[in-house]
Amino acid sequence: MTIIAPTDLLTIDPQGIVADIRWTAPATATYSVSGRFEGTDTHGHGHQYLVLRDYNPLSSFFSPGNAAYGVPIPFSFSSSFNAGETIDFIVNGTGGGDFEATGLAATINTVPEPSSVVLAALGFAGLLAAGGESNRSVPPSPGGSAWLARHARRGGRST
Amino acid sequence: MIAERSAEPLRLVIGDVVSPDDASWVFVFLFIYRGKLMTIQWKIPCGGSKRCKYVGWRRKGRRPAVISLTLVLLLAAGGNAFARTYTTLDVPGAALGTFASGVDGSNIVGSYYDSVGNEHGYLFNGSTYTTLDVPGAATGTTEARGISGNNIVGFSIDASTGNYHGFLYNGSSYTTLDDPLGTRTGTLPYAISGNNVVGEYGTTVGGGGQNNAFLYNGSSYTSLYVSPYLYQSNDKAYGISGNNIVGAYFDNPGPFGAEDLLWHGFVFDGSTYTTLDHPLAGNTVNSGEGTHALGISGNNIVGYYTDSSDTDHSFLYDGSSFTSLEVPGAAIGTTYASGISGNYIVGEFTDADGMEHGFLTQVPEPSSIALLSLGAIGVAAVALRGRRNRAVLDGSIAGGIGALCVLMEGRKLLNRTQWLGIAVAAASTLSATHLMAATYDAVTDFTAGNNPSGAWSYLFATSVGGSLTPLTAEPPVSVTPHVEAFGSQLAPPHRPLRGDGGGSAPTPPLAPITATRARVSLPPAASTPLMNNCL
Repeated sequence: MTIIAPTDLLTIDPQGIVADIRWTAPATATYSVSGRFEGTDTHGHGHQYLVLRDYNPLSSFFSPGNAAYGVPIPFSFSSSFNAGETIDFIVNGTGGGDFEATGLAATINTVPEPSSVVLAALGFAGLLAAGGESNRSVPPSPGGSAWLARHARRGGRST
Repeated sequence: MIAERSAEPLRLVIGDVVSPDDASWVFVFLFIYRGKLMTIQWKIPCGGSKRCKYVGWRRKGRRPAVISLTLVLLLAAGGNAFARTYTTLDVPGAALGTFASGVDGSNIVGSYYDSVGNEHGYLFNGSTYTTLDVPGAATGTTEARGISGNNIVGFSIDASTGNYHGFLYNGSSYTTLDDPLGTRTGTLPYAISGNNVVGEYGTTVGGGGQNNAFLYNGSSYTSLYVSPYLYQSNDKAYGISGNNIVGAYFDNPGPFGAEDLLWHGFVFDGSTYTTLDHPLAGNTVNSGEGTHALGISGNNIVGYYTDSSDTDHSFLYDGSSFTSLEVPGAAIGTTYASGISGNYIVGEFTDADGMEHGFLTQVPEPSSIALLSLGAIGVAAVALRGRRNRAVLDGSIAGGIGALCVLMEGRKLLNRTQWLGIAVAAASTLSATHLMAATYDAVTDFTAGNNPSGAWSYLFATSVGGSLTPLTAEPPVSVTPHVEAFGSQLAPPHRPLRGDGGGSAPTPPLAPITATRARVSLPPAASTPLMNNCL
C-alpha cells in the first residue's frame, strides 16, 4: 500500500473504525465551511466521508458516500452555530482497516453579522455627531473620562 | 520566481489612501489639538493587497488634521522599524515547495521538491537558480544547507544504506564529508564559514543511538558535546560564524532516554557553551517545546521557539533582545528563519494554501529602532504634559492586529455624548474586527502533536453515531485510528532535525511523500517519535 500525503491535507487513517476531526464553535456566529476529502492511499477503495452537525448522523451537512484515491470531494456550506456546537469531519473506515487513508482540508470562517456592521456604523454616526458638538466645551463627567482611560489602557495590554 | 511581501503594518496618509496588509487592521485616531477635536479616522478593514480608502472627519472650520510632532515621529518610526520586506523565493519547477536554508552575500542555498516529490538542492545567485544533485546519491535526496563563498555544504542519502553523507560542493565538484564517528546514521553538515563546517552525526554509544554535533576544520572532525548527558544525547550544530557556533540540544533525557523532550538553543564561542532560551519558549518536559538556534552572523542569531501551546515562532536575537520574524500571510507558526549573513535572513514559511516557500528578509536597521524609541519617548512626554492639564493620553492595540489609538489633550471639551460615541465606535469596531478575522483551518491549526488544539480535536468511535472517545494524550503507536500530519504542519519544525539519526530507515522526506504505511503512520503526537527516532 502506498500513501501519498499532499501538503495541504491532514491525513486521517481510520483503520477500520471511525476517525473524527471535530471543530467546536468558539462563539455564537454564522460560519462558512469549505474544504475537501481526498483519498490518499493509491490502493484506496470505498470508504465513507461525512460532515455532521453535533455528531448527529441525521444532521449531516455532507455525506457523499465512498471516494477513491486522488479524487477530491469538495464541500461548502454556511450555517449559524451556538458556542460549543460542533462540526465533525468523519472518515468511516469501511475498508476493513486497509487502504483507508484520507486527506482532509477544512477551513472555517466567521461570517460577519450584519448587526456588527450596523453597530459600527451607529457608533461612528454617534461619534460624528459628537464631533459636531465638540465646540460646546462641555466638561465631561469624571466617570466618562475614567471609563475611556481604563478601556484604552486595558485594550493596550490585553487585546 | 520572486514576489514581494510587505510587512508594513501601518502607513498613515492624511486625505489619501492607506494600504493595510491585514484584513483585520482597524484604526481609530482621535486628535485633540490645543483643546480642539481635530480628526477621527477609521481605516475600513479589507484583505490581502487591496487598497482601502479611509474615512475621516475634521472639525468644521478647522484646518486639516494637525498631528503632534511626537505622534508623527512614533508612527513614522514604527513604520520604518517594522517595515520589513519579505521576498518570497520559489524555485522554478518547485511544484511542492521551496526552502531557503543558508545565505552568504547575494547567494542563497536551500532545497525544493519537484512535482513528484523528489528533493533537490539549489543555489540562487540573486537572479538564477541552479539545481544541485549529489552524483550517485539516492534520487531526490539532496539538500543544500549552508554556503560560504563558493563552498556549499549539505547532505544526501546513500541509496544502498539509507544513511546520510555530507557533501562539500566548491562550484565544480563534490567532496564527501563523513565524520568517522557517524557510523550509525551518517553525517549531516548544516553550515559552513570559511573552512569550518558544522553539523551532526549519528552514532552508537553504550548500545544506544545518539546524535552529536561536530566541527570540521577542513582536515579533521571534532565532536562538540553540548548536552551534559553521556548517553542518548541529541546535539545539533546548525550555524557557524567565525568562531561562534549555534545549535540546539536535548535536555532531561530521563530514565527512558531522550523521550523527555525539551530543547535548548546554545551558543559555543570555542571554549564556553551558553544556553540560549527564548523567554516565551515552552518548558513542558516531553512536549517538544523549547528553543532552536539555527543561524548566526556576528552578534545576530536566528532561530525559532515552540511555545507552551506547541506553536512555533521564529526570532532574531541581537545579543540582548529577541525580535519576532513572521512572514505576512504565512500560516500561524510556520515561519522559520534558518540562515543569516550580515543583514540578510533567509528561511521558509507555509502560505494559507499549505504551500511552502523560501523567504529573504533583512535585519532591521538600528536607525529605525532608534527612531522608534525617540517617538515613544516623545509620546511619553506628551502624556506627562497632558496629565498636568488633566488630559489623558492612551492608546490601545486591539487583538494584536487591530489598533485603537486615542490621543487627547484637554478632556474638558468632550461631553458624555461624545464619549459614548467614541466608546460605541471603538467597541463595535473591535467587535466587528474580531468577528471578521476569525479563521480556522484544520490543516494549519490542527497539529498531530497538539490535540486538542484550539477549536480542533481528534476523536474516534467504533461506528458512526457511536460513542466518541477523545484522544487527549499521546497514544502508543498501536492505537488506532491514526492521524497523520505530514506536510505543512510538521515538516518545517522538523526540517532541521531530519538527520536525527533515523536508524536504518531515514526520516521520510517532506510531504508529499510516497512511503509504506509503516513509515508514515504517526500517532497524533507525531513530533516525539520523529524527533526521537535516533533511539
